[in-house]
Amino acid sequence: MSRKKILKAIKQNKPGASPLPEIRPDDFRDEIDLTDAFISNAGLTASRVMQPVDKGDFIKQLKALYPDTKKTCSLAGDWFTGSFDIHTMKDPREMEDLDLLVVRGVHGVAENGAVWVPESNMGHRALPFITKHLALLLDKGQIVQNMHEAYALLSGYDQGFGVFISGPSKTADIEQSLVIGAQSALTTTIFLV
Amino acid sequence: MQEHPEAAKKFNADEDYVNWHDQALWHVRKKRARTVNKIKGWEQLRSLASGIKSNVMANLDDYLVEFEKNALENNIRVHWAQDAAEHNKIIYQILHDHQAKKVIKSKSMLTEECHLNPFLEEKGIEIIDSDLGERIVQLARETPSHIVMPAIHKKKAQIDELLHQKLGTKRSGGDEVYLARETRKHLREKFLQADVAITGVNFAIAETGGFVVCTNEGNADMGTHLAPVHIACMGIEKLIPKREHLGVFLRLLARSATGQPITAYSSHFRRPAPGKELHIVLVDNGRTRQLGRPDFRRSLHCIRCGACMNTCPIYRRSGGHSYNATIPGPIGSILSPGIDLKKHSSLPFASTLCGSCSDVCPVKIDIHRQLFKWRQVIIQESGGTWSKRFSMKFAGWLFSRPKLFAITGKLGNLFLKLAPRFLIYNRLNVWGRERELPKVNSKSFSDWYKKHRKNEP
Repeated sequence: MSRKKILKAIKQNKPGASPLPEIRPDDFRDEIDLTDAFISNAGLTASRVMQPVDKGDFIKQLKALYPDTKKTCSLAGDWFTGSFDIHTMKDPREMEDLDLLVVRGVHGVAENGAVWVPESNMGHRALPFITKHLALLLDKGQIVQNMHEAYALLSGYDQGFGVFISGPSKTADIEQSLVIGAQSALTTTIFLV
Repeated sequence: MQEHPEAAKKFNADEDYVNWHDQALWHVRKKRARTVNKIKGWEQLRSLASGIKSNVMANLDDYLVEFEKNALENNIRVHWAQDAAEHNKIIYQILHDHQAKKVIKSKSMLTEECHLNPFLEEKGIEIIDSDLGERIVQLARETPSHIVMPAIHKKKAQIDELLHQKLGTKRSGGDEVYLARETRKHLREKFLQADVAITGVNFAIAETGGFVVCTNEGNADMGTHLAPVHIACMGIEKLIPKREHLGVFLRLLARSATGQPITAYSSHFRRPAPGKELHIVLVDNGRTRQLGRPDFRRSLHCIRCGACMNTCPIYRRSGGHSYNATIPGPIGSILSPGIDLKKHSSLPFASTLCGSCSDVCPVKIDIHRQLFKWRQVIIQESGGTWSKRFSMKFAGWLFSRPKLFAITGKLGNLFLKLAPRFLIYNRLNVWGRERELPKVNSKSFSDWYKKHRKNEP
């Protein structure tokens, strides 16, 4: 049986003990303004960052950014109501024509502009990817400095799926020329609230 | 078997093309340098990664068992494959069980290593690579020439023509936005039709039984979340002990690869979605053998970022295909001889041993030292070529006779200074091809040394 053979071969061939090093978060701490750094790095990943003052302002900005959306879907509670109710979805393939998805991110990471979105916030795993435009709501107070701090917050996380999203999908596979919008979302906008 | 020097020579036939290729990779290498210099503690991060990987290798069996236990608890089905053939057979069995005819696959160097695509195609299964660069090389019936940028060897005009012929796109003069949008439409269809999605694995976590897949295009997610079945294939060395270690590796991976702070999507899979199936195939295929070679086992630390390729003066000027191996470049040149020493015996020589690969490696693999060690193994086993054996013997004989050496050196310098060009730049002098030899100094080092020694107190 292959499992047995592989494990046996490892036992025979592996090197001697080597202690697991400890991650010391202080080695990587920088004196930076978290919100400023997040906004600047999110920009580098081609995310747009907006800072609405309230719900009304958010709706206004959303409508201005996406004037021509037909099919929209929201999982952001009372912040926005989409045209399509996710509970009526039978198969995620129906969402191929989804123009806009609004979801809540849980944590933001200043060093790379990434936003953590767990499965429970996205309605269906396919949605943040199949949508043309993605709008992420993020609480400013939930921005951490780097990935070490982000994983410290995720230590109790026990969901089937979750994703760090950093900008829209992109490719540079044609002669290193950056094209924003590859196989998933064409744009990503983060609304800091 | 074409060896690296011959293949590299062909690649160098078109000077403008080589210069373009060189610069395309150097551009990525510069982006890496800029990003890396921006963050605090980069070297500590590399040391941590190297230490974590050493610990993984020393406990790989225990971590695999821990991973399997947790994955099974999470409803993931775990398979073990000793070699490429078994890996392919397992995948075919899963496809067969589901009567699957259409497969969508995101980037996985392991499935390239196992030659999964031709295996499945022969059985009448459609398998589509969903990363744009991979789709381009697949349509061209080629293999990736780089592990992160599979189509880096292709110019816009070539891609324009290829997609025109294969997908019926307009001739756009190489408009990358148009071409990317058209391929998006083409791939969307494939995502919607797929029966099974296959992905690679960037990191698997023993502590949680989950794994992480990183892409910029979102193609892995488009495939896996739409198809009813997801098969993830991983080499057993991709394991890390704990979730917190992802912080270290995700900070290193994209910065080293493309100079981005992180890929657009870092997707964490832990359980199949309701009503779906999630399989993971753990593959050995020579890895446990490499683990048993003390000089070379650290090559298994590799996280497949490609930084060593982008920085390598030989890779940049000979192209990925010249290595004739699944993984090209410096890291490929220390991995491939472990798989087939005879086939890949020219690869450890495809290096200047400048050490830049080791300097940029995010997990601190001593690549250039391992290249040198492979050379020793190869020369010991094959005895080297006749000319190399003779010249080494002659040099040894000459160096042990200091007076004769001094005279020969002087005569040599005189010859280089006075002899006509055709006597110096001829077929026998490989160092004089495509370049001028350095100017001969009027004074030899030993003359200079003797003179300056006198002035010492």
